[in-house]
Amino acid sequence: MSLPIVRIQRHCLHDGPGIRTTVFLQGCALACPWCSNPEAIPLTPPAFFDEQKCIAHIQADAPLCAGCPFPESGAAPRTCPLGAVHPASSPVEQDAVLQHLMKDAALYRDSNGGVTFSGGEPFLHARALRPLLEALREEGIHIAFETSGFFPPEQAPILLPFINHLLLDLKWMTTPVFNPEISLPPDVFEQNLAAFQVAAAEMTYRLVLIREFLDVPGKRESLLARLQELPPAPIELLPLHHLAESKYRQLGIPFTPLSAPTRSDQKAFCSQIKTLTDAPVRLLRL
Amino acid sequence: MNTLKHSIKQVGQRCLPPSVHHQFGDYLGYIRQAPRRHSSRFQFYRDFLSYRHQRRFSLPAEDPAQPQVAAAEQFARLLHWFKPSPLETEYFYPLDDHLIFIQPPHCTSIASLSPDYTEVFHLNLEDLRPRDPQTPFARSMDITIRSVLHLIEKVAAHLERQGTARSRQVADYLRRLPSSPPASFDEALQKILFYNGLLWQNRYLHNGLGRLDLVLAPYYDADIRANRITHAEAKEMLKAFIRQLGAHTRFKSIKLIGDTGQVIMLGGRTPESDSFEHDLTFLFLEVFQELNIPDPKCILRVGAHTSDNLWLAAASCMATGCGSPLLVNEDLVIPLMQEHGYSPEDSLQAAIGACWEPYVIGKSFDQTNISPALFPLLVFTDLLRQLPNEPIPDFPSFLRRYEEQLKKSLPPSRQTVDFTPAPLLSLLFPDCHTRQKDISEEGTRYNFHGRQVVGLPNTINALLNIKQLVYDTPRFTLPELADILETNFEGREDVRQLAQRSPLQFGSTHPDVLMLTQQIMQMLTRVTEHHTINGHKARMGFASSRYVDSAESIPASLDGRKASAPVAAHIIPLSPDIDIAEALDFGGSLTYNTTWLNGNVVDFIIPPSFLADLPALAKILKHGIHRGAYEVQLNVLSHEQLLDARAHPEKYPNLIIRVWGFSAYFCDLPVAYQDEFIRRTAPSCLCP
Ligand code: SF4
Repeated sequence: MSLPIVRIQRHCLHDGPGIRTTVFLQGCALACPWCSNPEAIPLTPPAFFDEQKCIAHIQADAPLCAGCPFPESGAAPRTCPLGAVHPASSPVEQDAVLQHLMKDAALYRDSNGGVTFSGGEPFLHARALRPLLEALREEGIHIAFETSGFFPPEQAPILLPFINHLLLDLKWMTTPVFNPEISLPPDVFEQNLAAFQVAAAEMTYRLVLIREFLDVPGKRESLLARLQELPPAPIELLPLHHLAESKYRQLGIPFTPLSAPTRSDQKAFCSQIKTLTDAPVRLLRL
Repeated sequence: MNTLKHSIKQVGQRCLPPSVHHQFGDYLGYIRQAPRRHSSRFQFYRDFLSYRHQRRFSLPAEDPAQPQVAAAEQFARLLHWFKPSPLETEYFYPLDDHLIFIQPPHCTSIASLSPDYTEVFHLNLEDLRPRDPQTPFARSMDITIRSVLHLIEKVAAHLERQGTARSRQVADYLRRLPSSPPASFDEALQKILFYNGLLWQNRYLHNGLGRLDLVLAPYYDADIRANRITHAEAKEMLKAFIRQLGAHTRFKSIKLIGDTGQVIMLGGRTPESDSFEHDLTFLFLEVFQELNIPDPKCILRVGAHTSDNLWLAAASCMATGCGSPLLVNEDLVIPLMQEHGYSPEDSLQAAIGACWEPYVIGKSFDQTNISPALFPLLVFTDLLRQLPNEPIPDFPSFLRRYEEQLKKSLPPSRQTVDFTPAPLLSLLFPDCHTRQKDISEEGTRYNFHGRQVVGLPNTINALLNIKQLVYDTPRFTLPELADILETNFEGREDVRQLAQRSPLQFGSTHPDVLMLTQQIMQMLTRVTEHHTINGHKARMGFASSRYVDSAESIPASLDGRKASAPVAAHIIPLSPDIDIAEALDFGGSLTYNTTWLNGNVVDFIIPPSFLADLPALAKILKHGIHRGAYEVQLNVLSHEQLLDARAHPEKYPNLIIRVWGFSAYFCDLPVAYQDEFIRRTAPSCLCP
């Protein structure tokens, strides 16, 4: 069975404990406008078109480019022999994924790290992932999942027994924006949260900090109140970054210019959260 | 710059005897001056003439009957001119960069050796002085020792007259130096500096310092135990020592400023310990970290037994961007050295010379970068030019043709090299006394010389492209590609980009890339199997230095490189498809044999996230080495920083970059090298 792999990134330091390899999978039930992996949202992989890789401006009528519409009409081509067009993800066989993940097995052990599945929403691929998770567990590899909690609730029990750590992204900056390709029950988050709570996995909450939303009157208070309702667990705050801006351009989708709070505001908000909980609260800088 | 270089040569030739014209460029140092320094030719001549005016040149004898004796006399003359000046630093350093030693003509200079300072500490010059010097070797020793003793006396008297407590103490150290081992850590540092300075004054190049943590440990321990010094005082002494070594970088550099080869080895196995890790090992790393200077540099021997503490200390030092330490995998290097012919005991005393080449401290006269270098890329160009009439049916046949052509292009399999006689070096190598032979005449037990292979990564990428574009998914014929190369990709930027953007690149662990890389390494092993230099099996250097200027005459190549553009060096994650993990894996998956004893280095820029998590960086480096990377070196910089430094050098006086086996200030590099680094660090680009 294959998995729709957006990319596999080794030596990750912010995707759970220790040094990890993170597997980004295609497809998500949400479509947050600040998403740093917009290519991973649709269920079928979109194509990137990187105009900077196009050589039309340095060589007109290049023989290899014959038939490409871009120089004439500016329309994004479907393919490019020079790699200016490439799909966001491609299917990779489980064995190949496992082999890749095992390259750093000794490094995971030495750093108390492991493998993290992210995306997209990794729980959308529960059935396809299960054999891989079984194999990883067999090898004693620590498994983390980064999830929004928005996925069909019947997927959770398939994977939860194998997961050591859950990184729950709290999509609380706005009311969730859904990917119309996937329909979910209205209380999906609550159902999944309940499943997470009875699972053996450790939990970390993550919250992206976006100035435009945090500055809405009453927003911080409501966030703090909601955080207080959650079972206690470490919290990681991630100030928004703009590293994905070029991806939006290359995918031809609009980029929503949002920003991170100032550094001092980030710290102040972090301190406010710390007063609510005994669990560790960390401000990450990616 | 080329015109300027030419002008210097012309002026230089008027100032020196014809026999030494060829060396002139080396001594002027002007071609290594910071870029933009000389905006006009007038300024250039003015500076040149003042350089010439202020310096004294010790010329070699014309056609001497006994070259070793002549070399000793030439050195003695230089020391005779040496005028001691008041002690202004902590230590006396016998190097006056106004005194220029000109090598004898038609001899190859000696570089990249380290005396074993543990042995040097116990040298007794009086005992070594031949009673009845009859042979040329004995006479050369006699002259050399006498001139050193004379210098010591001259300097010690001068320092006593200076009359400060420190100058009197140093004078005392110097008086004891010829016949007594050091009595303290401080005195040991002075003794090393004394001989090291003399080696530079005598114009031996790339003078290594050996395993200084190991060498100095007994003196440090004794002083600490006896409460003669504190840890903090020892650190200050080391700082003064390092600063002294780094004070003459320009004078000591070979081609580019910073290329001095002043290597301090740290850590590593000893007969008693699996990993020698002493207070001093850590202290040296702290000193490098705090001084943040590119010269001297340190190399840390690491392996399975290196402690996590030492890995962390190394990562912390590397993260400062000072270029030190370079990591060398001794679990890989030492067994290979033994296979090559070094004894098990001696191979434990391994150091890295020149850039990346292993040798034995105090026992090797291994000259690892003997000209001519091998240029497999040229072979490839030749082959495409002389394509046979009948097509080459498949890629294996193409490789066979390539191998035939490679064989034809090699230098003669038996090469003889005359090295400059080196009495001072011979004095410091006990083997030379046992054998009563100058080091240049195989006075030491190891004489494993070698050559560099320039542009191997480009060759492999070009071959991968041929495989892909001509055979696997045919888009071009070989004659078509030959024509495109012939015209330097004129009007075929599409093909150049296609070639350059292939995901199958040197550094990737794709099975096709690994297989071809191994095939080409085996091929080079086969065709050079019987190659000897001075009768000893030649070894090959995989990673190349001087990748900018040595590529000037290489035509366009099918890796997408235009004619004269720099070639690739080392294992660098260049393509966006190759990240650090991949580069380390690639480095670890190559199979080295004794031909490839000189190894290869994985070279990368530390991402900012690693800089914020040094324990993680330490573990990544550790596992990269455990998985078989031969050597690893790091840079800490960004593309934007380099662009800004190019435009505003005044803002970046301390920006250090690893160039090849050495680090330098970015702003000291010639523009062509600066451009090459800017190109390499660009995120994704239409490369030239
Ligand atoms: S084929 Fe690719 S490089 Fe050529 S014009 Fe189209 S997009 Fe540009």
